[in-house]
Amino acid sequence: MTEEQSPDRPTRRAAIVMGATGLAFLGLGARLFGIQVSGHDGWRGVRDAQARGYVDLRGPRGHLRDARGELLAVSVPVQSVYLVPRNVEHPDAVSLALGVDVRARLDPSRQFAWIKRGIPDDEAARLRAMKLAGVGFRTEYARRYPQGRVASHVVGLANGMEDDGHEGLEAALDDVLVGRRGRGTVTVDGLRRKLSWPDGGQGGADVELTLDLVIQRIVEEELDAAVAQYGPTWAVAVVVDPRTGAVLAVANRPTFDPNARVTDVRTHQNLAVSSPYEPGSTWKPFVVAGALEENLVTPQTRIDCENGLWRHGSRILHDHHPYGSLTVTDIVAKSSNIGAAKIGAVTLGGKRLRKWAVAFGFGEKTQVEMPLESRGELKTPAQWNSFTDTSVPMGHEISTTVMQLVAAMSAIANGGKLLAPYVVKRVSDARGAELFAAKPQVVREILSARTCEQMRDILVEVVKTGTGQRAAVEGVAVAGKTGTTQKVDPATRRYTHEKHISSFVGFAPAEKPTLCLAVVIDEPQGEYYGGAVAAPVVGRIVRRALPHVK
Amino acid sequence: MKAVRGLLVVVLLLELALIVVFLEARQTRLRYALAKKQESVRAITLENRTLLHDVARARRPEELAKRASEFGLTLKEERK
Repeated sequence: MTEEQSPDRPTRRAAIVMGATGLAFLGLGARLFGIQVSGHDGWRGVRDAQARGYVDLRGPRGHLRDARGELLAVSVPVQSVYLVPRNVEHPDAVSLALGVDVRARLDPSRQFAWIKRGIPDDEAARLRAMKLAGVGFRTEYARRYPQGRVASHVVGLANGMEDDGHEGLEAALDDVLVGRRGRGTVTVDGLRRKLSWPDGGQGGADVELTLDLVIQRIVEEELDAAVAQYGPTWAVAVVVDPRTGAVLAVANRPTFDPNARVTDVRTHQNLAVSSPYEPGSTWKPFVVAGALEENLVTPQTRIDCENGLWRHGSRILHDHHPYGSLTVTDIVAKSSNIGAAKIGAVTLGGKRLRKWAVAFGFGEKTQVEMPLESRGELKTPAQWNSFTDTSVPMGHEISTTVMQLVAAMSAIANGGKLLAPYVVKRVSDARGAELFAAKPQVVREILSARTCEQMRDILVEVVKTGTGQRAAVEGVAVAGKTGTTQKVDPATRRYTHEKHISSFVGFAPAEKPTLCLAVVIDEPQGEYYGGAVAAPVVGRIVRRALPHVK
Repeated sequence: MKAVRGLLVVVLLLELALIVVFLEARQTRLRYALAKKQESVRAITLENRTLLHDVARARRPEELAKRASEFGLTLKEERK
């Protein structure tokens, strides 16, 4: 090698290295082009398939709360155990661990079989630690009712694990409460570890009710006391805010605990809205209100009550006590059948009587959100006859639900507006954004302020000096009307003296009502007059609940 | 000199590639951490539901009366 040649040698080597490197990069570039450009779609599909995983996105059912925010229904997470039959290696060991003979469920054609659902957390942890082949776990939601049987007829019932509403508001609001379901896609790495969590699986909407748990508990306690004292076949109490139509409490007896796995379904019926009955004398105020509104009578108008026996057409009517001439106020206060029948059948007449029944909302649903609501029974004009003219003013030949009765009495209490009772106050999504807020809904204005004031004075007189004295509360003016309805004997299809419905419907404080309520007790044992059985219950509820009304 | 300059360019490209790889790795680490946090949030949300239920049960008047009696206290009977 000469000295002239030596400077060329590194240059040549460098050229070779650079050439080789250039070729390598060229090859790499060609490969990259093949992957990134010409084969892009195919490789992208492979990548997506490898990096995709699925998660169960079943969101929990929404909460139900009362107006104070107290929880009425909540879905809590529970662990459930399932089998993948083809993956089970040691059936006997699995049976022993689970405490269930799984051998019968190992059909290899099945990919999935539930074994135990809703097991306690400690049992789930114990089973997980055993790492049994073919045994899997899934988080589900079980519906719980922390208040137990309190307001159970309103709240209703959802099937714990399947998460669908069966009864009450759980059924009526099912579409709102139910969580979003389905599978969500996640990005995973080669070891199937999640690199993202899908935006989904949201819980259902939360629903706030108008029920006030403090008042609800008072009503339930007082109803329990009445049931213990009189042993009725059923009893119902409804409390509404007459200013808005908001339902504050609904209690039924018999009742049930929605947390119990097995209950008598006959106890589940929300009688307050689904079971119409003849209202008896509690219907008299509506007849009188109609006559007052039409200026046909005044509270001082005197009506001859025929000394307790009145023949009208082919019908003979009786009063419990013989009265001569009574004022309209006294007819209501003393609950004269003959006086009420005369105002209804003679003063108003059948057509106007029916018009006022319709105006007060009888014969139509109140539209409260509770399911299976009955419209009650109001005879059509074609069915209406001269007997009906005298029966309806006494609360016979007409049937009403307790909710209808309270809604109608609320119209007298609030100055003449028939309001639609409502129990759903607010709905908000799982993130707290408001979806719905209830507003009082006026169905129609039916009475003038003057008529309402006159009716208020008449109904206060019922409690002061009339049949409802045992509803009186010290320091509070209570207005209302008693009812003692004879029941029809199914065997003879005639009214019997053996079975009665005792009731009281009223409001308080009379001068500025914030509570309108009814208590209805079916077939009380011993005493049976509404003034003796239902009125004291109303008085106690008013006394205890009034301080808690907002 | 040309060869040195070429090598310098290669080194720079490699450094850039390393930076890109480092950033990608960092992003991936953050995604793992985020996924873990999201799962934790989900677990806490679920636990919160159970606690809400337990609190609601514990706040019931009969439960409070029971606890009070355990401490030797008696509640005033409102009904009487």
